[in-house]
Formats: sequence, C-alpha cells, structure tokens
Amino acid sequence: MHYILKSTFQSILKEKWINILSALAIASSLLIMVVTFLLVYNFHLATNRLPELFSVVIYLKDNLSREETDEIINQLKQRNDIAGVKYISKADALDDFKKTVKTAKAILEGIDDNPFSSYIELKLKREFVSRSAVENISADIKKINGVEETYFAERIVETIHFLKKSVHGVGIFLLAIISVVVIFISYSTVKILFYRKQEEIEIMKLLGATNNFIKAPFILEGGMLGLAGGLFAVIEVMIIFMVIKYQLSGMLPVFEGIVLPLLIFPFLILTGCLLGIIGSFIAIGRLRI
Amino acid sequence: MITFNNVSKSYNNITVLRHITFEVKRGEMVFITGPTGSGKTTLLKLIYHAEKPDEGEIRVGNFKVTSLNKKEIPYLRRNIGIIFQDFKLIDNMTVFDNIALSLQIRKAKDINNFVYEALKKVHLRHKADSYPKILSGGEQQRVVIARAIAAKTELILADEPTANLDPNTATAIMQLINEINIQGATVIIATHYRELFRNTWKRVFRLDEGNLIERVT
Repeated sequence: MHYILKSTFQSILKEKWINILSALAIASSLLIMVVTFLLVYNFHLATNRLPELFSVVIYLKDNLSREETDEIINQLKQRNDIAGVKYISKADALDDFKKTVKTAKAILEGIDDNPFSSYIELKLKREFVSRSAVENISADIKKINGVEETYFAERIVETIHFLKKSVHGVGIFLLAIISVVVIFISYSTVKILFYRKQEEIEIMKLLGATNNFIKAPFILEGGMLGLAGGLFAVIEVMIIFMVIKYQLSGMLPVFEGIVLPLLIFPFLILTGCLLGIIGSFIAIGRLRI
Repeated sequence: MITFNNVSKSYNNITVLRHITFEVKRGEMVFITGPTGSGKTTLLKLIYHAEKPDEGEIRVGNFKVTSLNKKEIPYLRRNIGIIFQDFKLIDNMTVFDNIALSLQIRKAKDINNFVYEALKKVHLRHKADSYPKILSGGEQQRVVIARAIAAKTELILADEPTANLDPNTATAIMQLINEINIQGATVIIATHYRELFRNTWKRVFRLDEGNLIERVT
C-alpha cells in the first residue's frame, strides 16, 4: 500500500502538467454536468408547482336548490382524487366577471338576467394531474345529477407532462454524455502515463510484480484525477452560483429563485472520483501487462 | 535447484539452444560462457520465464517453469534475484527506492533494514538517496546486486555482471557474488569474460552453436 500511494503521488507530481490539464478538463465537464443538473432540478421545482395551479371547472345546471348543490359538493369531497372544492354561485360568477373584465359593463348591457352558471372549481391531487386521469375524473363527474358540463385546460395538462418528460430526457442524456466524456479524459490520461512508464513496468514485471501491483497506482491516479476535477468543479460551481445569485439576479429576476442543493458538492467529488477510476480501469484493463 | 531437460529454443528458424540438459544443485555456483550471441542470456531468460522454450522441460525449485500459467510467473520471479546486464534500474527512483521496490513486490516486512543491509554489503550505504543516473557503471552494477540480494532469495542469476567495468571493479563485483554463494545462494553467472572463471574450481558450461558443453578440469 505504501508503494502504491508513494508511486501515485510521485507520478502525479512528475507529470503535473498533464495531470492538471486533465483535472481541469474533468472539472469543466463536471461543471456542465452540474449546470444541466441545476437546470433539470430547478425546472422540476418549477413544474412541481404547476399542478397546484391546475383546476377542473364543473358547471352546474340552473335552478339547482341549495340542498342539491350541497349534495354535489359532498359527493365531490368524498373522492380520493380531489384536493379542494370551491363553490361559486351565479352571483359570485357575475361579480368576478365584472371585476376581471374592464369592458364587462358594455358587454352586459341589454342583458337583464345573469347569464353565468354557478360552478365548482376543483383542485386535483398532484398525482392525478395527467391527461388520462383528468379525462376519467371529468367523465365521472359528468354522470352526477345536476352537473351541466365540465371544463379543464387540456393543453396545460399536456404541456406540464411534455415539459417534465423532455427536460428529464434531455437532462439524463446530457448527464450520460458528460459521464462518458469524464471517463474518456481519465482513460486517455492514464493511458498516456501508462505508455510513458513502459520501461518501469517491464522492470517491475521482471522483479516479480503481479498485474494488480502494477495496475493499482494507475487506477488510484485515475481516481485522484477525478477527485481533483471534482474539487475544481466545486470551486467553479460556487463562484458561478454566487455570480448568478448576487449579481445577475438583480438584472434578470428569473435567477432569483434558483436553488443550489448542498448535496451537489459531495456528489461532484464522488462522481469525479468514481468516473476517474472507471476511466483508468478501462484504460489499464485494455492494455496487456 | 535447476533442471533443464532436453530444452531447445530458436528465433526465426535459427537454433539458439539445442536439446540442452543440465542440472545445478542447491548452493552451487556455475558459469555459463560462450561468445556474444551464443544464447547465454536466453538460457537465463528461460529460467525466469522471460522466454519460453520450443521444447523440453525446466524446473526451478518447486516450480515447473515450462507449465506455469501467466499468474504464477511473478511468484517464480520472486524466488530469483536477477543481476541484469543492462542494470534495469528505474531512473526516477532513488537507489533506496529501487531496492525497496523489489521488497515491496515480495510483500516483505522491515524493508528499511533489508535495504540498508544490502547497501552495506555492496559498500553503497552513502548512496541510498542518489539517483541511478548520477552513479558510475560500477556503482550501478553494485546497486543491482544489492537489489538481487536484498530479498535473500536462494537463487541468483547474473547476466554479464562485469561487462563494461574496469578490472578492479569487476574483481570487487565477483568477490561480492562469491560471498553471496558462500552464504548459501545458488548462483548462475553468464559471462564471456574468461578471466572470471579461469582459475575457478566451480563448474563451467560453454555454449557452442546451441550445444551446452561442460568444461572438464
């Protein structure tokens, strides 16, 4: 073990420039990985709030008695897919219209009766905000006596679903690509170092060194490269996050709510280290000793 | 200790060793001689499995060398101290580290003591922290000997141990190898310098056109 550690650190110091460059290349790749992760993570947080804004509107038939309306509300409240029920009477619907539409007075001119229906606004539980679930709920509710029509914004449901799926897909694709890039950098560096040490390896073999004894410092060196890359990436991420949070957010408010989970730091270091080891493992494994 | 039974080796249809059969007993010291290119180094390489024979059987101690698999080769080599003609020292390691490496490979304990003891025997204790490149040829050869004897193996192979050395240094090196043999190690020396074995009573084999002929004294 003493030899393996000593040999690894000696090699890192001896070939410091190639090692520093490789670690920086790994850091840059890991940075892209973090930016991708943050985009996916923050988008996930943002889209997670969208189902709360989504609602199904149930238009009730005219001339329902208060008891009949309460019966419908009770039936809805008993369902396990509904998070909230809000009843809006005809009069309230008219008031809302007047409040929200500036030209309401002109529009309503000449109309004596209240043209609005009373309706119920439903908030669905998060897991039921998908097109098929909403369609099923809507169809069920239509069967209730006293319900005239149901309405929900199909395109919003579809958009939420599409955005979530695409962002996750792109995120996973990018993370996979970057992982391959980090593995390749470590692979190439260790392979170069390996070729430079051919004579040394030949001597060790003649002295009775096993393959594992020869390979171990290279594997460790790959891990150290990844570790250094991870540490560089942590510094880069912290600097970039500070700049975004405290400089850019003043100019672009979209950055105000950006969240950086602290777990990303150990994740970066461990990922760098692991990918470095995988890269060097592949590099050494493919070479005949 | 070492048995060659009907061993042949050729390169590109040129026979280097032809049906060689000989035995070296434990604690013995023998010379393999012959002109440059006669197959002395090949014969040594067959012993530590750096080359494979075309036919025949080789045994070294408990190892049947000719039927070793790849994973067993390092364990054979750990039982042999090799003094290479071209030294085979690692330039970016100090003298101490070069010797220590051979002990680390063997998973030895108390490495510091073993290294300094070996360096003391070759009178290079003061060069422990030097790098091989700044040493003279004689000093490098002594480091190689120190590396070969540090692990106290029972078998020492020396390939042209005095090549390119001045006569005084060559004599000192041979004295060292003699001492190693006196202490119990089996030693095989491959050399083309007649001076090394002219007055010896030890067995001398000559390689002549692939045949191994023992000198009759």
